[in-house]
Amino acid sequence: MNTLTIKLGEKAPQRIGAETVVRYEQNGASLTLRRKYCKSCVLCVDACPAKILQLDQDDLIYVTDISKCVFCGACAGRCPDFVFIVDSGKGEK
Amino acid sequence: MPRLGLDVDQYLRTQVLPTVWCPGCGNGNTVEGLATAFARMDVDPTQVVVVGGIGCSGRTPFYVKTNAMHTTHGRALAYATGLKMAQPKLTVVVTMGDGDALAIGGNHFIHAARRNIDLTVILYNNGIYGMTGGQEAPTTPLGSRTTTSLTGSIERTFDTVEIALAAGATYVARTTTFDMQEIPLRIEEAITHPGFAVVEVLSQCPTYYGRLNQIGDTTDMLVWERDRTEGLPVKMANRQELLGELKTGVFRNEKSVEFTKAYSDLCARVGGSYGLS
Repeated sequence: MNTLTIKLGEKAPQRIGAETVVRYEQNGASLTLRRKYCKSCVLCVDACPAKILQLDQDDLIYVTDISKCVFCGACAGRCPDFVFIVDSGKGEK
Repeated sequence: MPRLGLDVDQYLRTQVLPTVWCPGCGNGNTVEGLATAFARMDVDPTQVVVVGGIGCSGRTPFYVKTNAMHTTHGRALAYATGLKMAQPKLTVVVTMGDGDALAIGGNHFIHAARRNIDLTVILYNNGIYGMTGGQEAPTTPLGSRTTTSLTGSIERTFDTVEIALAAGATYVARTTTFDMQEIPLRIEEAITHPGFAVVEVLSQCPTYYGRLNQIGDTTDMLVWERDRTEGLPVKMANRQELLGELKTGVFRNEKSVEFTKAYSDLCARVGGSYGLS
C-alpha cells in the first residue's frame, strides 16, 4: 500500500488512486484515509462538523479542504469500515 | 473517542478488510468498539478467543486478530461454554446476532446466563435476519415491515435485557451504534466483569430494515435509533412523554458465584484437579 503524505499548506492532487492511503499532517495532528475500505455510505459526510468530506468521482471519500479540519475524530468514530485514523496529537485515550 | 490516539489496528486483521457487510451497516462500529476495548485494556491477543455464530454478526471473528471460532447457528454459547470450562484462564468473547442468540440459540442463552459462566456476550441487535434476506426476527419491532411481514409485524417483540435479567446474567447493558463512544466502555466493563455479561448493541440494517420501513439513508437510521432509545438514568421531569421505546445503559452489575470457579472448588473438594494451573 503506497502512502501519500500531505503536509500543512500542500495541495492534494486532483485525482487520488483508490488504493492510495492519504495522510494529512498538521501541527502534530494527523488524519489518515484508507480509501480502499470505503463503501460510500456517507455516514462520515453527515458526521463531519467542518463539512469537509465528500465523495469523489470513484465514489470514495476525500477531504475537500484539510485546513478546516479540527481533528475531532467524528468521522473515525462514525465510520463502520475503519477508513479513518485520526490522531489529534494530544494523546487522548 | 474510538480510534483517536489508540492503535486498534493491532487487533484487526487489516489484510481481509473491507468487511463483507453492507454500506452503512452498524456491525463495523461494534467490531471497532471491540477492538478499541481490547486496545484500552491492552490485552494479549493470544489469551482471547472470539467465538461467533452464524449470520452477519458471525463474521466478527474473521476481522478481530485474536484466537477465533466460527461455530454453528445459535450454538456459539455452547461452544464457548465448553471452551471456557476446558481453559478457564482464557478470555472468551461471544459475538451473536439477535436471531442467533434469541431465536435459534435462545435456550443456550438462557442457561449460560443461569450458570453465570464467565463469558462476554456481544449481541448485535438489528431487529431483522439480515444475511438471509430480511425475514422477521423475534426482536423485530411491532408493526415493522420485513420480507415475511410485508403488512407489518403483528408479533410482540423480545426484550433482550429483560430476558437476560430474568435468566440471571450478572452484567447486563444496552447501547446503540449511535452512542459510538459508549460501545468500547460497555464492552470493557463486560470483559472485566467476572461472570456472564451481556452487552446488547442496537444496530442499524439500512439494506433491509431501513429500506422496507422507508426510514431513509444510513444517517436517518442512526437518528431513528437515537429517537427510539432513552439513556439511563432518566432525569427529565416529564418522563412519560420523553421516554423512548427502549432504555440504554447498565441494567445490572453485581457479583455472584461464577461457574468455572464453582467447578474448580468442587474438584478441590473431591480431590481432583482442574485447569492447567
